[in-house]
Amino acid sequence: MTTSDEVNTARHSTSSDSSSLINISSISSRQQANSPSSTNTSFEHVPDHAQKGDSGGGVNKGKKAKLLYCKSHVSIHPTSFNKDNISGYLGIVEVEHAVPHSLAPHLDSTAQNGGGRKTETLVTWVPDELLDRMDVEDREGYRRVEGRSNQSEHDGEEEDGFVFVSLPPPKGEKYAFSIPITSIYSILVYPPSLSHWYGSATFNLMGGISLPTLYFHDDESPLLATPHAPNTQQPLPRAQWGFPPFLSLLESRATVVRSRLLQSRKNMGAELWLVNPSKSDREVHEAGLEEEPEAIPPQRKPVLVNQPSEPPKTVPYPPKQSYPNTAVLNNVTPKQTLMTSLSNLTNLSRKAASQVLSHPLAQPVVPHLPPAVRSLVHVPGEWERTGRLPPKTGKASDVANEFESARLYLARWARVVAEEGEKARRDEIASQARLRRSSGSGSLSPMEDLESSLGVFSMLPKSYSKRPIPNPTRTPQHPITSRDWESFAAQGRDELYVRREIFKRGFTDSTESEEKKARREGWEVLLGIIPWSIGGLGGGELGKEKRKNQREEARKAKRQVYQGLKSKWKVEVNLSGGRDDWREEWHRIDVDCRRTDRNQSIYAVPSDAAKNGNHEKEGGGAATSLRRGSIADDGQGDEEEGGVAALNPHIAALRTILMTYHTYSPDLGYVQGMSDLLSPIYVVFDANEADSFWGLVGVMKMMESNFLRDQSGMKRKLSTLQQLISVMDPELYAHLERTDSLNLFFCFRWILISFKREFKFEQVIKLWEVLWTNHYSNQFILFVALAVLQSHRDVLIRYLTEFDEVLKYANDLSGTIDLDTTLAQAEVLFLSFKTLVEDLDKETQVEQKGKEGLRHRKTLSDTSGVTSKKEGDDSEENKKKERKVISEDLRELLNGWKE
Amino acid sequence: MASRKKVLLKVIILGDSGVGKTSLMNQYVNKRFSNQYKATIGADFLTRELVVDDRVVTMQLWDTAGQERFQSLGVAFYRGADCCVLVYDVNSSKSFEALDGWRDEFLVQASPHDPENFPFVVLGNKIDMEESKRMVSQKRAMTWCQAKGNIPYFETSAKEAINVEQAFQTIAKNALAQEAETELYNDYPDPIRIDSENSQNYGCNC
Repeated sequence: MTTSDEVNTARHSTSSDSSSLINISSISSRQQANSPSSTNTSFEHVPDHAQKGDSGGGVNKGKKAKLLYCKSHVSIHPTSFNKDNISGYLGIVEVEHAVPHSLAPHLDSTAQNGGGRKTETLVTWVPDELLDRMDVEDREGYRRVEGRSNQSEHDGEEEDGFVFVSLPPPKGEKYAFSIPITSIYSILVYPPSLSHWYGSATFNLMGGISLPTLYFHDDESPLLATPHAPNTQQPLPRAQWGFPPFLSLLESRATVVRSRLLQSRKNMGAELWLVNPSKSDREVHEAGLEEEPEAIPPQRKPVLVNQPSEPPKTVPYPPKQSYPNTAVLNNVTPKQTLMTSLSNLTNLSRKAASQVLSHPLAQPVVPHLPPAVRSLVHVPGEWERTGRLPPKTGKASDVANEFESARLYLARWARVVAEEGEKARRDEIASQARLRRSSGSGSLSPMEDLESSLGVFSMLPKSYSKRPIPNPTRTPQHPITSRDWESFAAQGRDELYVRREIFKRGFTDSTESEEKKARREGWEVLLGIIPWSIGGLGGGELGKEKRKNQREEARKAKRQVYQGLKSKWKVEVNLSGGRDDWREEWHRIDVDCRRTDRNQSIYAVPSDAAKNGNHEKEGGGAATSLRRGSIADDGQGDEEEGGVAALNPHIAALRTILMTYHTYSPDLGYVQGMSDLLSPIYVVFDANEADSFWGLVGVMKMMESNFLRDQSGMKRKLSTLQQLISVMDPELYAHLERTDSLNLFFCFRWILISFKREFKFEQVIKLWEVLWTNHYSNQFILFVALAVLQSHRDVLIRYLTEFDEVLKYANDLSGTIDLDTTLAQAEVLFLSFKTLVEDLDKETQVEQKGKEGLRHRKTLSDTSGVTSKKEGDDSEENKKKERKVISEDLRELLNGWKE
Repeated sequence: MASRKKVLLKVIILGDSGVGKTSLMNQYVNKRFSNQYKATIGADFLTRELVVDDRVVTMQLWDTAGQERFQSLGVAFYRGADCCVLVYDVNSSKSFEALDGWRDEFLVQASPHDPENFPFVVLGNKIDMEESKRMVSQKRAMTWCQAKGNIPYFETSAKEAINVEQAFQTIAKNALAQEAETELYNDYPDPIRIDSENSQNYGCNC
């Protein structure tokens, strides 16, 4: 199947193909007894070029039909593009002809011929293009009839005599048709609606095929638009739409019954009209069925199913098959296609999953996997080697069809397997350590044992340095308690020490108020709200008291400043409703605050509001206050919203803080993500609005560049991370380059809001206090990101080949990352990076000395980041000596907190 | 017609923050509404297989952050889009007035080969809220859609699953037509993602 074939199919999806055309004449013949040959085909889709030789304007002259009704601006839409629409005239004509002579009256309408005369009514559609080539007389005829029928639907016909027009030739211009109404089985009609600009009608023929859907461009028809609506820009649905007049004329020539099987509400207003229905059809369609409408997909144009033409039957056609739309679902073929594609997916998964699971690391894990997954593992040979029999339970498809892409699916499994393997190994080591300790021989703490076996090391590329890989120093199992915290000050420790301690241990999670204070005070220091040395260090009990008092005073002062900042904008809002940009910002803030950490109990929407069926959570209240043009703010309950939105007071507080920040830092303003940063601070600061505001100010001092209007800060950070990957893991870098992922957009969320969405709320708090120490680096977060990437590098490299797959995989890591392992790994990566830079610098120095007297070499530009410099030519020997050059951006990573 | 190749339709969902882009996408793909969604940071996508014009296609729906500040990153996500869905909240005029900007921004960043005819679909979301809150009338939305080249317009509720299925069916259909056009004009690389024949062999070397 070539591309152009496909395009063609798509472009003409609504047109019929030639095989179905024969059907029309055969239906027609069934209705009319003696059938002539297939040259009577009255409808055909003929490519443009085939028409070129058609002389005489492509119209059968002299063979006229009585035009009973016609309507212009009825179009066929071969594609979804307006430019492809074909506008034309829909008409109802009547011809008289001798029964034995011909069945296609437009071909042979010799009314004077002997024999029984019979009038036949036909429905025609002629494209404008064809009409333009007709006689002036014909064109005038069409226009006259349309104008007439517009003024009066019923009596116009007889007023000034009949209008005779020519009909399309046997080989109709593209899409043109004229079909006897006796061959119409049904008409599927969609009145104009909000979703469908133009009403449409599709003629379904007795043979089960459908003619191209006709769209009524009523708004473009001058005749219709003028008398009814002076404002032609506003087509009024139904009031002036073109189908009902057509229908009423049709009803005068045939029995037309509306099917009750289609419930218009469920089917976008679809109406199904049966033309001359059989008795059995009538029964079925007039009774109506409940389940039937569900089977009809909400699809606009009927889809032509390429099923073989059924031979003419004398029995009425089964009603079901005449729904053009149901054919899509009722026909087995598409279903089968779906199933086939699913099974293909499963086959692929099976193949690759077995490759993952046959990895030596995975082997011990296999028996622990759920049966459904185990069944993926079976590969002859692999099992023989391990001497185990494959379990036979489960269906791979159960697992496989839950996932979008096979590779992504595999990557996830590979991850799970690796994690399970890692966990098993750690458990093993921990139990050995316990054994050693109980036997009295173990002098190491279990944690040290555990960490030295974290697998961190096996994941690091070995080539950073000739020196041994550094050890992580964190001991999160010994968090800082309030006693520890107090002792730091009592012992006169400096801030550098305190920050290092926080980095290594973090604060205790105890919920006792005394213990919670330690973290709170710690954060006040880290966020620059209250200096570490406030009230002096040391000094025994007196010193402790002094520190406490001064700390409280400092808080009070800060709170006062906050109240000032807050009342400034509030007063303005009360006086004048506030500035326009404030109202816009208020709306943004409101919408975001309402959906920030809703799963945390503190921010949960009051349950009574939820019970009342109140769904204001999504920002409805905001809409209200916006409409009123006011900024509705108070900490307790939001009266402005008429008591409708029972707003959680804590969410209201977040809103107020962010609005105050917006006025405090107008250049930056509120940016999405800030509410995420604020929320944990607010919790740690015990829901104190003013303190949390200053906490936000402190965080934003560190992270402001992330939120700049031009995104330059984020771009720079991602670029630095990219360079870091290039230095630390060239293989991963190369893979990201291959997968078009070097922009690292899949890390965007990680960096922008410091992994807020990747860890659970409590873990985020632990991560952030580590990051904010700036202990090793002011941008330690980049090493955390690198650590996450590194622990998934094998999966990334092996399975993910596209940018979107990488992004999806990264997004889906949310909630699966182990914090302490990652931080340990990040620390090791930082230390390795530091060592690498030192070594490189040493080498450079040696080199510089060696090259003394030579011209000073220029350092590489920042923008190029890291490049590999080759000494000499491309010989193998020299390639090994490829040297990494550290850019300024990378060098900055070595800067940490300074007094 | 036995073995048609699989088609991946890339659809970008744009609109102001909080209009319900994530909710619509999840309602369509996962058939559920959650009141736990957060503001989207960065970008994400969901995929769903469906039948359009007798073909099985995979629709990839891209959800992006609603704040305009983040749109400069959009170019990476917009590339190769087959249809763009513009979403606004019928209860917020502001979100409706922003549609022009979103449309222009998309055309600039995605630079489709034929911007005049690139398929857009407009969704007016949150129609489940009480009528008194409504700020944008059908008429107003329709006028805009008509002026922009008869963009199909749907009024939806992601919360109550009103019109969501229908809207995305139309989106898929228009995207498929666009995909065909694109293939016609540019010799784009094979769009297949999930075809077993074409995927590389990632066997392990151990």
